Amino acid sequence: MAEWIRACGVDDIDTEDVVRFDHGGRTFAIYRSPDDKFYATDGHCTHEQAHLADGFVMDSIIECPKHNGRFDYRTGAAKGAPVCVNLATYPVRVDGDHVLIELTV
Amino acid sequence: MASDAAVIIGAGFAGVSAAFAMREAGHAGPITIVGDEAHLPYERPPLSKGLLTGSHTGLMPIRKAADYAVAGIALTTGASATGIDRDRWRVELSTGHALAYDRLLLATGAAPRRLDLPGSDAVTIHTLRNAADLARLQPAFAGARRLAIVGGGLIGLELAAAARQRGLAVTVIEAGPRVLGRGVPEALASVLAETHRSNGVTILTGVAPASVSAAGVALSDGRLVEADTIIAAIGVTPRTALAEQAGLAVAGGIVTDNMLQVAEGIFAAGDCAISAHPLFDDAMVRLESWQSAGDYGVAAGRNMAGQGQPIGVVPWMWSDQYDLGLYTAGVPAAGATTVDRIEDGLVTQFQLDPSGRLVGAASLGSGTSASRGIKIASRLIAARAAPDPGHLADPSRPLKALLQ
Repeated sequence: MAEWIRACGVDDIDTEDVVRFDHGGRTFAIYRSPDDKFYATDGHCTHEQAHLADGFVMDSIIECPKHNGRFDYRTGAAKGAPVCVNLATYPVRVDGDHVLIELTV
Repeated sequence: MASDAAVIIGAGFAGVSAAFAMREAGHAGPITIVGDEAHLPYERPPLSKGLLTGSHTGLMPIRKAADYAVAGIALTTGASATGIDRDRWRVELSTGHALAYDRLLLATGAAPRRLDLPGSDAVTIHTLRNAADLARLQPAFAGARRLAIVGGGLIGLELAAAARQRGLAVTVIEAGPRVLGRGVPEALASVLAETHRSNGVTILTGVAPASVSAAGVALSDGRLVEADTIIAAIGVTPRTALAEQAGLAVAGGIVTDNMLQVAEGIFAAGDCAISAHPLFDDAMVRLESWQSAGDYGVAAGRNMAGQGQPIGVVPWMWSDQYDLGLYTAGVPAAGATTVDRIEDGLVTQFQLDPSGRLVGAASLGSGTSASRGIKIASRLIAARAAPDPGHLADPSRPLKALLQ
């Protein structure tokens, strides 16, 4: 069953930045884009177990903190070596000051 | 001469990165990677980290076997190149076969320095560079109680951390005045050394091993470091014998131009190669990190496919020890001034050359928290920026603002 879960507050993320969100034994990365939209992906890079919340956001790209693999966080698309496997993404909506992500629980 | 054939000697990260980059850059002819190990090409960083502590099991392939087939890259493993016949454009292999090339990449890597001391013939002195070394070290680790590590560099300290996590008594013997004397600022090295000590590692500096025996390592000052297992982690030397035999220029590595070319049709990349770095006054730089092997491998592959792009990537590396992550970018310059930035749990040191240009940075924090600042520093170094030292030092001012 899909459910909307509060991930963080709107003000918890700077523009063009990322934060970590843990829920139900899983971990996610929540992004705020330069055009002020919010996105969510799995927290760990698909290459190795580095958390993307320590990564670097430029425009629509998240760069993994460890091996510099890049993904488009809006679609999860891997953008070339060393990452080949896309990131899972999750629907996001903003409700007042809250950022919600839709998870299947 | 065969039609447009590429041969890559070395199946490490540089060689594999070059092969795929060459194909992605449009090279249509055959590509063959020759590797002297039997394994599918694998990542080396976990060897001194998770594979020793047991948190990882099994070698981590750089690419899946199927990826080579899809890209049309032939993999010849368990074979070494024994000679390069530059007149006939052929590489001779240990199998007795020869491969014709039009483009040849030397990605032969580096070999660990051996500790040659009185007694070293009679005891096993481990090194750690490849899967075979790991296969010898793992059972030794399982049965060991006291470990002596000669060399306080990154590999020595990563081994020390892994050994402590396995419950071994560990002594690190470093001949220099401090650990990590090459390439890591003292402010950060001292934090790491203190972390090792608080985790129970004995670090001895300013003292050299004099001999080894079944009892352990005897030091130049007469002390004995008792050990049942000894590891030498005293650096690597570039594997250049093949290049030298072929009459190619070798000076602290296989000498390349700024396109990573060595001679007509021959390129070099990775730990074996030394190149003038355009961001650092064309200083001859030989890099030994995973990131650089990949970056230079990709650049070599593209240039072998005819793209002709000069190199200019900023060196970058990381090291994991306990729950700490060390990240560095750039090349520490002689005579540089340093700026420290201290923020919650994160120590960062920037190095500025005499004109104020940022040339190097290093940062230490828990997990991967030090990465982001070093990514920003890396971009500033690439842009030849001279950031305001007051801004760099002020933790209330975001580093990212310097990129605008």
